[in-house]
This record gives sequence, structure tokens and C-alpha cells, in this order.
Amino acid sequence: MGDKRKINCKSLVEELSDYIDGDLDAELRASIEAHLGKCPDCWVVYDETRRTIEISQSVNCHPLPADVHDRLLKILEQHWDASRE
Amino acid sequence: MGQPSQSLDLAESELVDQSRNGDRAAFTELVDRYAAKIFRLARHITKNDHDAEDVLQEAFLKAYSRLDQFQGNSRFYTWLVRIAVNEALMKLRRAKTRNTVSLDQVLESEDGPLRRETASEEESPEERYGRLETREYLTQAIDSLSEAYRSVFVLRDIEGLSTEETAEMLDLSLSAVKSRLLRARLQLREKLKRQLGRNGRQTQNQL
Repeated sequence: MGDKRKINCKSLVEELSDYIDGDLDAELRASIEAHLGKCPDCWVVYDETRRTIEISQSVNCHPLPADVHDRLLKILEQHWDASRE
Repeated sequence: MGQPSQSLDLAESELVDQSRNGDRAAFTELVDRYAAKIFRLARHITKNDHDAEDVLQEAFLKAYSRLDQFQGNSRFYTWLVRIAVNEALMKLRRAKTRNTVSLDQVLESEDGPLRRETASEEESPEERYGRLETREYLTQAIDSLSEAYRSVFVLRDIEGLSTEETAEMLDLSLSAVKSRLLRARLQLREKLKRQLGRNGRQTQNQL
């Protein structure tokens, strides 16, 4: 029994993305969770990275301005009208 | 009951078929579905509103004129994203060789993302300020990533594409996508650390 791969602070960072995305097998996931449970520094890195991703997904930095949308439709109409002539 | 002229629930593939047959309303429906996502993606990659608008227009014009080349074995949306990513990367590389920034561009990007935007009715001035502030520091942080990291981060974490789709679009191996995504996330976390510590949870609750 025991971990196939020993997780330390350095190796945890390398696996962090896959851990957050749920892309790891159960054994490696358990090793990471065991390390996170006893290492406050790694837990902070994990928690901040997870929240960084969450904020990036929930905040729309660049909503489509209405005038940009209008100009796009106008250009398509011009294109359609020109190709019909 | 009248017959609905355009069902909102029409499947993407039906809209593509109808567009192929010259149905403008069907293609306009595709524009309405995806224009905002394509603009956001283009703006993240090119880092300016003017280029993002060019990319948006080029992507839809090209998609329309190449509809007969669309095979239908992938989603129309991912096919459209691929066209937009190529356009955006070309823009970026052309801009790099020009290496100049016009005054128009500077003025436009200063208030560009915020123009003609309406606040939601329930939002207090404080909440609105918090939301705009979050958007501003997040934009700056993402813009400051290198192109290699930024493209991967935007496709994977913001647009929600899979590792495989991202690899194919950027012509990278799966391991390169994963490695760049990890570096991008860690760099962003480093840049946003202070904000996360100060009001990270509060900001998320507002959104």
C-alpha cells in the first residue's frame, strides 16, 4: 500500500492544473489531498489558483459593445447585397 | 397561434444548413449566438478593441463564404473559433512587426470595453464599482501574459474548450497545452494574489 508517487511541495505544483481539472487518477488525487491537508502553504497556492480560474470564468472582461454588433450585421448585409448583384 | 418565424431552439446544424441555402435570418441567428464569444476571444488575444472588431467581422465573413467547406463532423462553433483564432494570431503578428500604436487605438482601448454598457437594475453603485474594478485588474493580468500562455488560457479557461480542441487549434501537443495552461494559471494567480486576498471571495459573491 501507500503512494505510488510521493507528493512534495514541488511536485504538487506540477500536478495542480490536472488536479483542479479532475484529470488525475484516484491514487494521485488522494496523495495530493493528503499533502494539501498538512501543508498550509500549498493549500493557499491551490485555493488561490482555483479562485483565479473561477474569477476568470465568471467575469466577462470584454462584453460585446452594441455598436460593434450593429456594424457586424451591417457588413454582412452589405456582403449579401453585393454578392446578389 | 401564429407560426414562429425563427425558432430559438433550432439546432446549430439546422441553422448551418439553412444558411448554406442562403437563409440570411438563419446565419444572423448564428451571429447572435456566437458574436459575443468571438469578440471576447479576439479581444483577449489581440489586446485591443479595434483589432478584435476586425477579427470578428473577418471570422463571420469567412465562415459564411466557406460554409460549403464546413464538414459538419465538428461543431460549427469550434470551426468558427478556429477561423477567429487564426485571424487574431495573424493580427497580433502583423501588429508586432508594425510595432507602433496609433493614438486612436490608445483612446479607444481606454474606454472601449465599458462603452454603451448598461448597469443591471439591482446593482448598487458600490457593486458596480467592484465589478468594474475586478474586470479591470483581471483584464490587465490576462493581457500581461505572453501570447503563448494567453492563447491557451483563453481557449481553455475562458472559452471552455477541451485540451484536445485547444491543441488542435493552436497546433500544439497535448502536453504543451497542459504545461502552458499550468504556467498561465500560476502566473495569473501571482498577479491577482493581492486582490484575491483582499476581496476575492467578496468579489465572487457579487458576480
